[in-house]
Amino acid sequence: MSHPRDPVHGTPAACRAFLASPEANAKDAGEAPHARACAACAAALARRQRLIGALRRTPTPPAALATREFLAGIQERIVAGVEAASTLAPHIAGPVEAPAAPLQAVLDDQLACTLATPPASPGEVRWQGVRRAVIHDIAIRRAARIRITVWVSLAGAAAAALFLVLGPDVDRVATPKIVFADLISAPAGDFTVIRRGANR
Amino acid sequence: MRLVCNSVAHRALCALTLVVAAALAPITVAVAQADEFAPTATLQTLDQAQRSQDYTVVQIRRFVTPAAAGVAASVTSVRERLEVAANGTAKPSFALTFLGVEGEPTGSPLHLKWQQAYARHAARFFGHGSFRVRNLTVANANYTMHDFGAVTRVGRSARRLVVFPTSVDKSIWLVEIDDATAVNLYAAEFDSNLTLLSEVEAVSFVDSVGGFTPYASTATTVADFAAGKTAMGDPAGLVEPALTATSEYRLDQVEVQNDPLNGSWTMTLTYTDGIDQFVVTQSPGTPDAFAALPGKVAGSTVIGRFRDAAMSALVFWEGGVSFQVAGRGSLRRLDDLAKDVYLQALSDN
Repeated sequence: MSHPRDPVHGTPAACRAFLASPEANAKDAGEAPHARACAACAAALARRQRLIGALRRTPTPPAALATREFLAGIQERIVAGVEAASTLAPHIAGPVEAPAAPLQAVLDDQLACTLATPPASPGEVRWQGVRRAVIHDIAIRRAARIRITVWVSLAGAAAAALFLVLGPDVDRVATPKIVFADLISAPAGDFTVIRRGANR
Repeated sequence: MRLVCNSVAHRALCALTLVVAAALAPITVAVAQADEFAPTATLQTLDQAQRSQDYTVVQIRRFVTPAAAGVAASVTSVRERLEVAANGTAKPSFALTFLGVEGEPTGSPLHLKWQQAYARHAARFFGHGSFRVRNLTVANANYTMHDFGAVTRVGRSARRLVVFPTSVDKSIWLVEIDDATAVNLYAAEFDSNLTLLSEVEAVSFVDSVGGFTPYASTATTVADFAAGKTAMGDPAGLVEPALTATSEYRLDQVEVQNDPLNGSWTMTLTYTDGIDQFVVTQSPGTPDAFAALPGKVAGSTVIGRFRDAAMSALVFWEGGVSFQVAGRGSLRRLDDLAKDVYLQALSDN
């Protein structure tokens, strides 16, 4: 139903300008001069208010949407669509198959034989040689440690001997350092009496 | 060091000339007389007068306290009567009587304090408080005497003399000697900066003495350090000082004294270079006076030192004995002597 427009305030341009202005979005938009004068804009403001109120309320969904069957139907439709459109889906969905041919059939004969054959043991002679080499290496390192220890000990003994010979005589007591503390008044004694007349 | 000594000696000699000239009325006449006349008094003359001349003199003794930080210098003038009966020795019989403090009414607290001081310490005032020739031989080696002409003192004809030390760290003496008796009528002591340290001025003099009761000292004079130690009961910790830093001084006197109040002993060793003196006092059985000092720890070596222009006093404690080395303020070698005595005490203990 259309409302009559005011011939002064009811021009389409004036109505558009009013509805887009902040004045129309205020709480008291219905009290605006244009709204009072233009019934169409007043009706539009009323609809706007009703719509705002409706949008603020969360609608309650229908109970049928929450059922198990409804959700299962949605999943089936999704799977059917994937199966119909994808080339990989059948492979993923299907079972794992065994290789079509043995490994040897696709490799070089010599390589396949080598891979299939376990490696041979080095032999007892070689193992003894490895053992001797390891023991020899350990012996060398031990000798080096003993050599270093002996030289360090000799150097320490030499330093101690030098200190004992050339160092301070431990039997002689070091001269104590005497410090002077200045007094603010003369101590009692003969010279204080001679100079001051009495002990002060 | 030599340069410093030379400059100080030169300055002291120049200043001495100015002081003596200012003290004389006819300045040029006094100087001319010094050139024209040989000295009529020598140290030997003074020494002889001490041994043989009886006299009675009323004199004013001025105790000068040098200025210190925040404290002005002060002078206390005390009137005293000295009666001397010579006995042929350098230590005659005497009586020193307190007469009053100049400017103080009789009976005032200051008057009573000085009266008590004279009653206790008259021997020190007479023996150590003024100019005396204590050892003629050593004095001749350490001092020179200069004659600055004739003066009049207490209505008597006298001779003004300056006794000048050969070392710059000792006092200079200006003395006026009676022509007839060679008794000292005036003595003023100056340091090398010509600061007045003490003064004794006669106001009346009679060359005889009446009957008097000689002053009886409570101290006992002994022959030497060993005798003094024996008299004290051989206490541990006493030290006989070795005079390394003060080699021109000789041991003059050893006294031991027992305090009747607490029974404690004190040994006083007096050393002289002929005129100047210093003392080493040892008191066994005394507590460590420095024990309560902050920072003092067991075994630390501290010497307490008081020094002004007039006196030096060094105190320390070791092995249960309290030591004091005291002398004139200019004699800074007493620091080394105190250290030597301390080290001796440490090594003995």
